[in-house]
Amino acid sequence: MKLMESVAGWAWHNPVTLKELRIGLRERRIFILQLLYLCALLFISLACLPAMFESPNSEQLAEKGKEFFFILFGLQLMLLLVTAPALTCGSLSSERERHSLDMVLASRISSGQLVLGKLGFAAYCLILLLSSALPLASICFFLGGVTLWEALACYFELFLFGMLAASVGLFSSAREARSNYATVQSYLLVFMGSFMIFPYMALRFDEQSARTTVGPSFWTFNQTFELGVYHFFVGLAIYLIGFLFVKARHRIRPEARNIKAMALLFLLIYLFCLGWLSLLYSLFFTNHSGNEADPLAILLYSVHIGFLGFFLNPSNLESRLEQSRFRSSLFSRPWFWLGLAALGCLFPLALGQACGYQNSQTTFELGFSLFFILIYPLNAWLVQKSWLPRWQYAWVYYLGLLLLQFFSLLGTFTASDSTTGLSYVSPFSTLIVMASAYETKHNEGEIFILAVSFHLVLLLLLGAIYRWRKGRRQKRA
Amino acid sequence: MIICQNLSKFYGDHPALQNLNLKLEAGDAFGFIGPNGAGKTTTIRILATLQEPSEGDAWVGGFSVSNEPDAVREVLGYMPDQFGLYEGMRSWEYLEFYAAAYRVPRQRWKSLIDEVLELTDLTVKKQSFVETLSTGMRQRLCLAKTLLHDPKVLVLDEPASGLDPRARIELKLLLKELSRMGKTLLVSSHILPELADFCNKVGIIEAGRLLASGPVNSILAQASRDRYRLRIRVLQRTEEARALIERSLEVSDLSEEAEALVLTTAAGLEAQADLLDRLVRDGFRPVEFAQLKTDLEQIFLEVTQGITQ
Repeated sequence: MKLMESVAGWAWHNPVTLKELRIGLRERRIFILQLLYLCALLFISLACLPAMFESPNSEQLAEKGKEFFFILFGLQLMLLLVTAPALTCGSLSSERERHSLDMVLASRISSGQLVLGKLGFAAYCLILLLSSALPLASICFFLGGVTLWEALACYFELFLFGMLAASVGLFSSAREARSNYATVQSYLLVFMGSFMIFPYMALRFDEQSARTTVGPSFWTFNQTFELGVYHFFVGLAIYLIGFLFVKARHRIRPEARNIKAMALLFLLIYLFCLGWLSLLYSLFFTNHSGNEADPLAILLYSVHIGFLGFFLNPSNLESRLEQSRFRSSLFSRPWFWLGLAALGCLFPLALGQACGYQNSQTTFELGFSLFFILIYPLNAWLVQKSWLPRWQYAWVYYLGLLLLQFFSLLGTFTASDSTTGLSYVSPFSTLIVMASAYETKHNEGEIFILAVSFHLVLLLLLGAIYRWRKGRRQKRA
Repeated sequence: MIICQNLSKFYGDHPALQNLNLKLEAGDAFGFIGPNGAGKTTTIRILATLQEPSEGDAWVGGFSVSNEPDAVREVLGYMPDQFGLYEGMRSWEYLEFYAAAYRVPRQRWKSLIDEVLELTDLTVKKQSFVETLSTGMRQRLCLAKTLLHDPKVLVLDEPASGLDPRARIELKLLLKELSRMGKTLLVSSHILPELADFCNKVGIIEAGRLLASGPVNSILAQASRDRYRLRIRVLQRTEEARALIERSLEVSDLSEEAEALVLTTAAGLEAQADLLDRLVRDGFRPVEFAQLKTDLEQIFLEVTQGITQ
């Protein structure tokens, strides 16, 4: 309740939003932006509409209405991706340039309030842009073919992706000292990210999947698969907005580098990925049986090993305040993350079992997964601890994963001469190779012992190096 | 009210501030003096919680800048050396924004804004857009926003830089008034005579190290102890008089300023009287023989060596 109150307070009584609105709405920029936005929409509409109304058949009209709505939707999405970063990409960097940011930061405005205030201004402008285009979009309601829920869902998505683009702009603005760098960076990021929009757009424009039935079909999809993909896109957009918000906060104030918030965000995306993959897992493998390799289990395993690198990376804790806050939190305990990852391994397997997916490899997979999840991060930690500063853990972790792929070149640990050609010691490829080994009837036990021994020897070796280097450092001190 | 304990700040291996120790009581007006790059702004930014110290800690109003930054912001008013105002806002809107930023209760905004505008003599400019204000007025408006939450401690970084003489005098009067109101002031400035006017304590910093610190009078007394600055002007044969002075007294520094000789000596009053007697007897016709009061500028030049980081 307290959290809700503070969020509401931030949103409605945010002095930064009010200040931005006062300044922004006195400038011509917003009105020019709105004018251009509406002109582009009007131009396309005028070009499309006459061709659509050539056949006056009522059923065809409804189809045309839907078509027109989706054209408008796509166009608005494109325009928002262009306009939204412009609303935020100079907001913090320009304050830095004119030396006004320091005074704001020396006041009692929290960095979250500051970033949220800037985002709030972008949200107001986006609502202004979207609502100003409503009369044009309402033409399709006369024609039929689009339900209210479908229209609402589309506008929600437009707002969401607009906010995502604005968040990218704000993040760049917080990151860069100069506005022109921030502008270039934010448009570059939005341009690269917009490739992710294409599969989403394809999904939206797909005639079959986008057809809505009656009832509260807010999700607007009949097919379960499309529903899953839709969830993924919407969830990812919400997550990215949160992620960029937290990262922007980190850039503003040293003590705002809130590792707890970052850890929570990673936890959320981890659970989200886990849930989403488990959903697909249960959908596709409910009646599955046989000895084939299980690509989803491998994917889940990759999610674990991939996210653990982030979880165990305490980031660059420059702020002493943040260091002490982090140390006192649950997130600073490696066993918490390792335990979570272990549970994450068990969960999909249990789900598979519950769905009736029979696989004799399950216990073996579980053993390997747990082993690597426990031992690989530990080895990476020892490497980092022996040679590098604390914040470089993530590099060591992911570089190590990459390097392990090349072990197959040595010819050792390779489970089979099959097409996979992957090393058995790589956590990523373990399950794939194991599956191949199962198919080609290799002796799993031997390979298992070999891989486990390799990692244990590595652990001992790295531990010895770490102790030796630590001793030398202490002597020098 | 302000305590710095072994405060250090490093940028990589470069030390910007080294082991700064400082203690200011409530009501003190502290002048922070130092050449460019000495570490004044770094110290002030640390106190304003804009930077974290690499080592040591500082307390403002009893709150640690490292561990309780939000509490520090509540009791501290900060005015940077360079600042920008938001163009497109009126003076009262600008102040209203900061009143909200400092979490001043909404019902007090109007009266507070009127008060600080009156204090800074900007009441007539309440409705003006900030871009139409002169540099001096902008400076005063910035000071007005610094005073909005009634901070116990004011940290002002070069508040008089870029101001014309009139605006500088007005600002000085305003700072005197604030000091009289019992605020603890920490003011950095290059204009030393002005600091001496209203500061009761000074600190001289160079290359990140605090070279001297304490009450102005004690620093002046310490600097002038066993040393005198004399100004001697003779009507005739100045060069011969110069040679005579050098022969008669132990002179550490002798220069010519506006037809007069200015020197620093450790010689006592007896020797000075003898010198005057000799100058009269030898027919140099002295018209000025005065002991100069040691000022902050003189101390600053003596203490610092012109090292920049």
